[in-house]
Formats: sequence, structure tokens, C-alpha cells
Amino acid sequence: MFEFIEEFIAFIKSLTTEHFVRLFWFFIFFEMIRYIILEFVVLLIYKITTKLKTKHTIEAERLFKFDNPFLSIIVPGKNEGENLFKLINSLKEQTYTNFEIIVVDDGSDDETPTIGRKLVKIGLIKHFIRNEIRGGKASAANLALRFAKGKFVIHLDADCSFDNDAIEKIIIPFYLDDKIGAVGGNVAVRNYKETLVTTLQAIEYYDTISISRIVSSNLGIYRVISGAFGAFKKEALDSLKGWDIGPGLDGDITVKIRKLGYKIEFAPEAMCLTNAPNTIKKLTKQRLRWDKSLVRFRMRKHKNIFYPNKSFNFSNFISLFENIMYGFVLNIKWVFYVIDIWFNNASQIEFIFVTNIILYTIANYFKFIVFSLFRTRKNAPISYFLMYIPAMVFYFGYYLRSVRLVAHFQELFFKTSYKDPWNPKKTSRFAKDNNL
Amino acid sequence: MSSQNENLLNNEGEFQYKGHSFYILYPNSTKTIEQLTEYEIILIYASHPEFASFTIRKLRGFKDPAMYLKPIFFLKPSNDTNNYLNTISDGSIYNLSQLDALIPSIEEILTANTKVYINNSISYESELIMKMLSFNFTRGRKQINPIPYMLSAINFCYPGLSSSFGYSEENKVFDILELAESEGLISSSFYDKTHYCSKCNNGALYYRSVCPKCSSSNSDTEDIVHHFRCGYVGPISDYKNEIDDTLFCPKCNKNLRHIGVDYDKPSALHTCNSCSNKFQDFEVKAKCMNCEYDNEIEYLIEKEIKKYTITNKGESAILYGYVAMQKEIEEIIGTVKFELFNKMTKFEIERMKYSKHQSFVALLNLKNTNELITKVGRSHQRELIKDIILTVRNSIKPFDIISFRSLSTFVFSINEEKEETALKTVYELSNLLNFLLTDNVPGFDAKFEFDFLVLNTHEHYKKQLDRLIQNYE
Repeated sequence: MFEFIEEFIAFIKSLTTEHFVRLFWFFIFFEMIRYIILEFVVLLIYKITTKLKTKHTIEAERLFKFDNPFLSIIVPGKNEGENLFKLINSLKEQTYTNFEIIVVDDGSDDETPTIGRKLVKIGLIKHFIRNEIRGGKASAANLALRFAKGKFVIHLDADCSFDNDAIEKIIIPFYLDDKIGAVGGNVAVRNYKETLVTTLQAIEYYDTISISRIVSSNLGIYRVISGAFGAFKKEALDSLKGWDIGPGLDGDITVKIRKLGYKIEFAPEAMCLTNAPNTIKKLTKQRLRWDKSLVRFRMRKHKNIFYPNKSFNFSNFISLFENIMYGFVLNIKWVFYVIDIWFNNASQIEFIFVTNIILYTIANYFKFIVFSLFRTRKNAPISYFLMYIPAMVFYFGYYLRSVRLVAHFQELFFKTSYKDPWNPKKTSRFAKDNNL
Repeated sequence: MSSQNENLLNNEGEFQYKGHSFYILYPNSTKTIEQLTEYEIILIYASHPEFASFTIRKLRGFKDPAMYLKPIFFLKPSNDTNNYLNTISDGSIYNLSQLDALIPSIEEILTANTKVYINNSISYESELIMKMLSFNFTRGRKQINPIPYMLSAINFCYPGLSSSFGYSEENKVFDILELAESEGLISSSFYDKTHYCSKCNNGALYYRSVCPKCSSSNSDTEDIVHHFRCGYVGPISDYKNEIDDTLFCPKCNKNLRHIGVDYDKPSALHTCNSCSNKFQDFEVKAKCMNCEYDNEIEYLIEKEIKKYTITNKGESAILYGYVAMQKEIEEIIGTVKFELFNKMTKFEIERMKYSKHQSFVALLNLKNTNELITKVGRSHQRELIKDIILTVRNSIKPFDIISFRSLSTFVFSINEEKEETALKTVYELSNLLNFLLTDNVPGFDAKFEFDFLVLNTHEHYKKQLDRLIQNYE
């Protein structure tokens, strides 16, 4: 052990700048520049512009209150009965109350119909609509849309709960700019203490998801409005005739709204808490589904964004390009990095591995602590997560990368997303045949 | 009876046959119910169902046992008489030549009627219980079963009991049955469960599927269609065109050809034609046909309908009198049993022979007792009687005694008094009671009448008392 440490110190001492760049090019050029420097710079700009835009924001709030828009909150889902009371209670506490709640039961086989009908009876929800035959999340959301009367439609997952001003905060951005067609809410992990898996996801939601969305939103390339909490202009959804078949329909609808010429905004202060998968098996299943959507939707269904035709839009191009570049190309490039090191520096591989871990851990600590200055809302103390930061190297750097690689491979060559039981076969069959 | 004999019927429809007096009650009959009591058997001319139904219920609902226990038959009934009416009548004949067939059952009923011990009660409920028990007993029925009846406010009628109530107060039948059961006169078992209006307790309800928003039942229903290819979901009208029956998806413009392959119909959507509300689940409401209140199903009054059996104690009450009734009388402070009143009257007459003073027995009768009971309700009935007794007690001397003959009639002694003063006391008392009741019971106009007996020493005390009360039995 001591011998290894001595050899490792000697390895570090022997590193020249040129040698360091050669061995850790992946970290320096792709990870550090994109996820630390660029994000930090954009966050700084965001912070400054937010201060500068204060008047503009106040005016948007005033317009929102003056307009007092009627909202339709839609909650599609299957077997979500037990979550409904908690969700409704959370919505009852909202500072903004001019909304209707529409719950669509997509062929539940539990007590959901009884609970839903009771909630209508006691006046807590406007509509409870039941499809006896399961049609998938898109069809359930589209049915809810058919009933929606609001100027804006808010799509929620039933297992979520919300800050009492979340509804207000997610709608105000629409009054900042008339061209905004959809706004994504900020999602954090409620059950972060449950298992190590949920704790690591909570850190991921803080950094990679929440912070990344602030950054991408400010760069005008924000591309996935989470199905857990997203608001849409009703007219935009109507002109699209609702959601297309999933899985991955959240990202799909965001791209489609972009294509209509609308802007997409992230509302970091519109806070939603959700329960993250608590086992590695469940998490893997979820992430395989999420990651396949990059290939299915960005690279296959919406590839026309890259075509230089009349409807070409630069920010849409950058949005998808960045997504494919960092989500797909660099993920494969990372494999090349491993092969490069394996073949060219096999004798030092264990020292390179440890150095990478140290670099990533330092970067993760830096990001987590410094970026916390930019987080507008925290649902857990930062100190709680500090001891788990080293594990993020393995979680994010190895586990999630591997899952992503498998997902991309499966989708690219076998189109396995169309076999995902998350969506009924009867609809997936059509989606596959028509490359939807 | 031969057809020749039928011709002997007089215009009034009365005749004698095999030693019994009959009366045929036609729709145009001018006789009062009281006048009908003089006949042993009534034949209701029943070719008009409404007349038959109204008449049999009226006769069975009459307070006098001489009427409600009387053998009553339908003559020439229409085919649509119902089970309840048949049960409270004693049978039917289609012409008078069938009278012979009725004689055995007539004699059976008349014999049974003589076994029934009818004594007067101060309690309206006791009277009704005795009526129900004696009616069923004299018809050889130990079971008192509820019979579904369309014209009943509570959907069921109990023979011997329900006819005593008007439509608006028919649910009081349950109070009487519960009281009789609590007294051990009948025992119950489950028969059915039914629901009543939460506002007026009526059982005539009709169920409607209505819009949950405005309660209108005027709505149209459309199937919801889910197009598999693009996930579009909407009512089938979204997919229809004006030219032909082909279905086209409004989202992707594809043709929907094959249910289960291209599309399915996961649910249905109702649109209210009254308020335009779109909904999936109808609300079911129960509208009361009596008060028109639109009841929510969960707020309907659920009631268990029971069938009853007359117990041994019940039979004993029929044959030897309702024991609880005597107890009730004794419980009213300031009164004595009528038997004791008789004895005290006898002693007073004996005393008069020696002291040469004058004594009297006065009687007060409230003509509209049933109306009073209906207005004050069962719970206030005893309090009211106590108030009346207190008023009487304050008007007479401490050694005078009061006794109830029935719920509507009571007697009291006025001993060692001048006739003029005694008469004045009774007169003033009847005015005072009229005023007391009229003033304290809203909407009630008390009709007290009084009678007065000057006791004499040469006539038997019982004869004298009978003469006084005979008109008020």
C-alpha cells in the first residue's frame, strides 16, 4: 500500500504539463471546459443579468397578477391513486389558486378510480377521467388536454409535491417574453435520505440537472421540460395536437414547441419534489429509457433540425447539436479515451485511474460548493451531501456513462425503446414503423 | 243467494242473508262510516279500483273496532286490485250468488272478533298497536308482513296499521312497530332494505343519471377515440367528416380503419346539453316524487323493513287487554284507574245516602284527539296529558278523583257540591282546556265537549256511569 502511494507520488511529480494534458485530455478539454468553466461563466452571467432584469421580472409578475390567467393542471398516470391526496394537498397550498385539476387514469387496476371519483365529489379536482383501456402516457395527457380550459397547461407527475409558490413561479416567465411557449420547473429529490442511490441522484439533480438547465436556458438551448413539472401555452399544445407516443415524450414535445418558433425557459424557483428510484435496478431501467430517447428523438425523429432548409433555426440546431455532442459523441469518445490510455500508457494505468478520480472528485466538490451559490432553492442541507461527493465519480463517471452507452447501442441498432413496456405495444408498433 | 233474491235488494244496498246483515257500499252511497257500523258485513262494490282502494283503506283506518274489525269483501273487483288491498279485505266475490262461499269465513271472523278484548287507552300508540294486533289475529295471521304498495309513502304497507295513517304521516308506522316490539308484543326479522327522501321521508323516488355540475339529465354521449399512431385522443366527432363515415385523425390526417389495430375506444364522454359541461361519470340522484327534492344517493335515509310475528305476550294482549296501557294510566300522576273510579263512585253513592249531599260525575271529551296527537307528536303527548290533568286538578277539590276512560275521554268526580256550582266548574273547565290547547298547539282548534251526571242513590252506580259514557265510547 505504502509502496503504491510512494509510486503514485513519484508519478505525479514526474508529470510535465504536456504529459498531464496527454494523459487527462478528456477531463481537461471536455469535462472541465464544458461542465465547470463554461457553466461557471454562464452562471455568473445569469446572476448578473438576473439582477439587471429585476425591473423586467417585477413587471412580468405585475402583468401575471393583472391577467390572473386560468390554468389547467393535468395529471396523467396509471395506478397513481395513493399519490393523489398528497399531490392535491400540495396544490391546495398554492399562493396562486386560479386553476383546475384534471386527473386522467390510464387504465389503472388498483383503487385509483375510487379515489379519483371521491376527489371530484368533494370538489378537490375538476375532472377525473378514466380510460378503461390503457393507452400510454401520451394518450392520457392528450385526453386531459381535451378537457383543459386554461390559458396555460401544467403537466405534473402524480408522485410530486410542490413549493407553495411553484405554480406562480412557473407561469411568470411567460409574461417575460411573449415568445416563450413552455417553461420547465425545477425538480429535486424528496427521498434523498432513503438509500445511497437516491442520495447520489439528489446530488445529480442539484448539479447536472438543475444547474445545467439554468445554463442551457440562458444559452437558449434548454431542451427537455421534465414531465414531472412543466408548463405550456395551451395554444402551442393545441397546434401540436398534444403529445406524441413515448417513452421520451417530454423531450419530444419540447423540441416540437421549439420547432414552432417558441422559446423554452427554465424556472429554477418553481420547485417540485419527486421520489427518485431507490434501487440500482429501478434507476438503471429509468435511465435506459431516458437515454434511448436521445437517439430516438434527437437523432432520428427530429434530425431535420440539422437540415439547412427554410425552417432551419440556429438555436434549435445548437440545442440538439450540444445534446448529441455531449450526450452521445463524447460518451463514445470516453471509450476511446479509455482505449487510448489502455494501449499507450498501460504501465501507468492504475496511477492515471487514481489521478482521474482525484481530479473528478475535486471538480465535483468545486462544482457542488461553488454552484450552490447559484441555487435559488435547496430542499436539503448542502453539508449532508459532502461526504457522498467522492462516490459521484463512480456514479456519474462510470455507472451513468455505462448505462448511457448501453442505451445508445440498444436504441441505435435494435430500436429497443419501442419494446419498452412503459408504452403499450399497440402504439409502439406504429411509432416504430413510422420512425416516430 | 239466488239471482231472484238479488232483486230483493233495496236501493240502499242492504240485505239480510243467513242471519247476517250485509251492506253493499256503492260509489254513490250516502251513508257515513258511523252508520255502516250497524251492519255485520260490508261488500264494497269494487268495479272502480280507485273507489275500492280508497274505501277499504278508509274503513280499515277508522278508529272504531266495530268498523276496522268488520268482515269486508270486494264485490265485482276489477282485475287490477293489488296484494295489499286484497290482504286488508277479507276476500272477493264476483256476484252475489257466491255469498254462500263467504259465510264460513264471515263466521270465523265474527267469532274471532268476539274474543278480542278492546279496552280504551289514553295512548294513541296503544290504540294503534291493539288495532294492528287484533286485526291480524282475527284474520288468523300471526305474521304481520310488509306488502309492497305503490300508493304508500314508504313503499310498504302493514295490514291493520298503515291504513290508520294519511300519506304524509305514513312513516310513523315505523314508530308504532318499534314501540310494539319494545313492549314485546311482536318480534321482528329482516325483510328488506329501502331508501327514503332525506327531506320528507317519502319512498317514492326515481333515479336519474345527471350532469355532476348542473344535475340536468339532458346529455349526449360520445365515444373517446385513441389513435395509436400519433397518440391523439378525442371524441369520435373530432375524427368524422361531413362527406362520409370515414374516420380521419385530426392530428396526423391518417385514416382510422380497424378498431384494435389503428385505434380503440378507451372511454366515453358525456356533454351536458344544459350547461355544456363535459364529463365521464354521471352522478346518480334520486328525485323525490313527493317533495321533488333531488337527493344525493349517499344522503338518502336507509331503512330496514322488517316483518313481524305476534308474540305470546301480543296474543295475550289481544285476548285480555294491553297491559302496558293500564300501566301508562297509572303513571299519570293525579289519576286513578277506571275500575277504581267505579268503586269510588259506588262508595260516594253510599255516602250520599247518609249525608244527604249532592255529588256529580263530569265527563270531558276531546273530539279531535287524533289531530292533536298528530300535531304534538308522540314525545310531547304525555306532557300534554299531564298539563291537562294539572288544570283539572286545580279546578276541583283535593278529594275529587280523575280517571281516563280513553285517550280522548276522561271523567272526574265533583263531590259535596251544589249542582249549579258543579255545572259551572265543568263549563269553565271545558272552556279553559279549549283555550289552553288552542293557544299552545299551533294550528290546532280544540273541540272539547262535556257531559254531566247527577248521581242518585236509587240507581246502580254502574248503570249511571254507563249512561254517562255510552255516547263517548
